[in-house]
Amino acid sequence: MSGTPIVNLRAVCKSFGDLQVLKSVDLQVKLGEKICIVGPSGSGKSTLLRCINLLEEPNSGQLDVAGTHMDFEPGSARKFSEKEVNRLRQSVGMVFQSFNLWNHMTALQNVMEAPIQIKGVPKAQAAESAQMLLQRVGLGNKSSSYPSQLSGGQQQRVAIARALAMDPKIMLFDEPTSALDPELVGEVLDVMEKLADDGMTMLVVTHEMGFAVEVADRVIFMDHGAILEDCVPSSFFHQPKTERAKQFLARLLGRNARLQTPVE
Amino acid sequence: MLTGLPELLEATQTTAVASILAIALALVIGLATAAARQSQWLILRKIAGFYVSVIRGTPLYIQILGIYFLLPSLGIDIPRFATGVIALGLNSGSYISEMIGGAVTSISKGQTEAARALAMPMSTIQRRIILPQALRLMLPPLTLEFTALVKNSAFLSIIGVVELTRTAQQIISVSFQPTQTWIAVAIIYFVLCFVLGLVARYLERSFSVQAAR
Amino acid sequence: MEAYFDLSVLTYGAPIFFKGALATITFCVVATLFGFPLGTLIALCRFSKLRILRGFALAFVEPFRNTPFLVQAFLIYFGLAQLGIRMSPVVAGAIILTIYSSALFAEAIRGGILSVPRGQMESARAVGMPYATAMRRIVFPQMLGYMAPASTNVIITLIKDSAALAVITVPELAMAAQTVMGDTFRPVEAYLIAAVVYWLITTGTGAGISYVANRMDTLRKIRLSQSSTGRVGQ
Repeated sequence: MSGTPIVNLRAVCKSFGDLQVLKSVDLQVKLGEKICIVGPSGSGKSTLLRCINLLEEPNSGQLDVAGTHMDFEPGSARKFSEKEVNRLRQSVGMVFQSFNLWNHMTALQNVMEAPIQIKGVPKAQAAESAQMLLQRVGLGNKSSSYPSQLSGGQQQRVAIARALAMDPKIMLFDEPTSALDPELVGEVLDVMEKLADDGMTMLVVTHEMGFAVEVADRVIFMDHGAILEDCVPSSFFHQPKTERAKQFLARLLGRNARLQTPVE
Repeated sequence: MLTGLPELLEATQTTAVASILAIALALVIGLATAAARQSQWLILRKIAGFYVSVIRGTPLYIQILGIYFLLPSLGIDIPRFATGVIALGLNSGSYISEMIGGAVTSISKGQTEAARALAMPMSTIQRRIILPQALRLMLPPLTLEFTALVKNSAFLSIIGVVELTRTAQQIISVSFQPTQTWIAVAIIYFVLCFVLGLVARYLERSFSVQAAR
Repeated sequence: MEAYFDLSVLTYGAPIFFKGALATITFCVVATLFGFPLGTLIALCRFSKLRILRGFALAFVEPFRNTPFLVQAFLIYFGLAQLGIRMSPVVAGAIILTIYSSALFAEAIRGGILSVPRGQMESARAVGMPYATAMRRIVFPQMLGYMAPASTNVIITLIKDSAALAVITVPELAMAAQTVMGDTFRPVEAYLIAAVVYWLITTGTGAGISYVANRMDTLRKIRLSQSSTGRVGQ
């Protein structure tokens, strides 16, 4: 089973106005792989994730995600339908930096909503599996709480459960711990690690280098809209090949070194 | 061509003058009311609160007619135009006082604390720290209030002030072209208000850019 | 005219004012009931991908926002009459106020939709929800909470501006004041009483809406979360 690419990007470009955010990016993700994407802010990491589930539409390039093939030709009108996009998104779960839980719904309702509305799952059944998912992220007792009654870490764990409810083949995490108070980061990373142990395919944009070292199969370093390094964590952290990766790590470790060394 | 177009354009000046005088009056009333609402004296606060509640809770149409009939019965005999400007100013003043109050409270706290920590006296804080920021915050909504005033000035027609709307009625009574005339009038008001709206949006944007720096 | 308050105007005018007040309330209820859904449609047009729908919505809303209601009433009433469409003042008043209210609500609803954080829609689309479902299930229920104050404003504006319908002889509260004035020759009393009745209606409406809004569960939840999202998001 592993070895089949679930995501395959070829020469994907994306610009916002004059600003070119992705410069012909190629990326293959195999089923079951866990990949961390790191790099300075503004390097295009988030945009890359958002192109995979088409929250951003690439200007050019080709995209294969979970069996859906899409061709983006510069200037031409999109050839795929809204329906295809929605089908693709159903097999790609996404977790946002700012959680984006639906404020008017309880934790349980947040998790149930998509299966009921999109897949037509009966309500009782959706509630049952939603409750199980909340248990899986350690929040079985918070099912009737509203987002406003949960801590940031709890909200993010509900958001993970919500994404899992659609039974995705791959999970995208866009800086899932960046908006959290430091003491709440751990509980979210724990859930993500468990998910990785269960064999989920994961693409994680993060600044948590410890997580990258422990969980990732590959680390991708991006800068100025291009992938500069793509290798196993140990070689990235110990022998970065490019000058920019060295600078990035030096700045990052220099700041952290005073407190602790996150990399063994 | 539409009969009476030159007259309409001339009457537009009356509408503009009435609006400008009224906004000036409204600013004075608004500032005084906002100050009264912060006053130490309960009676001043009560009066200001009552004035704002009455004006905001009743139609301008009723206010204008009420003042128009009330003044002579109090022995005050002034031209209709003046009555109209006073009514418009009184109406708009209540909205402006709320705006001032809102702007001041929205900046007050942290700014005041920072200034007091530097041992600035309260009067200096008001003058140097709060007012400049409040004015800046208020300029876009004030421009919109001016737009509302231009629209409200149409009500002067009901007490016989010959401004844009009244002139249109006079023209129609001889030309019998209500549709064309009212469309022309609507276009004139639209241009006035739309331009003011653009100014407000421009001010809002340039201030938010400044604030972001 | 003497400067004292003639109480007989009140006793004489009471039934007329009462009828007028009922009529004003009825007009505003009708204008709200029809204007809100119409305004919703127009607001949704403003967010459409189709340029023509966006243009239509703008072309509908902007003239109403930028001209006096008085002129709108004259134009619609006498304009339609000139085109051969004659309506009774009651029907004309209801139609004019409804169109006006749909333009006001359209703006309020647009503001409401804009104040729902972008991430709410984004996360709905990310799980594969179609746009319409996301609007209906995620954005709309929250929008209602955000726009409660703006809706109150619209309704109170309707109550006050509907007085201008008296100029086309629509029988409502301002018209009632005019009738009482004509019968009693006491304009100050007539308009003072009308003002008090209007004030009662508007403050009552304002208090009523905020009472209902405070009791609504979802609205409270959203307000709670508004205060708790300070740290999150850009």
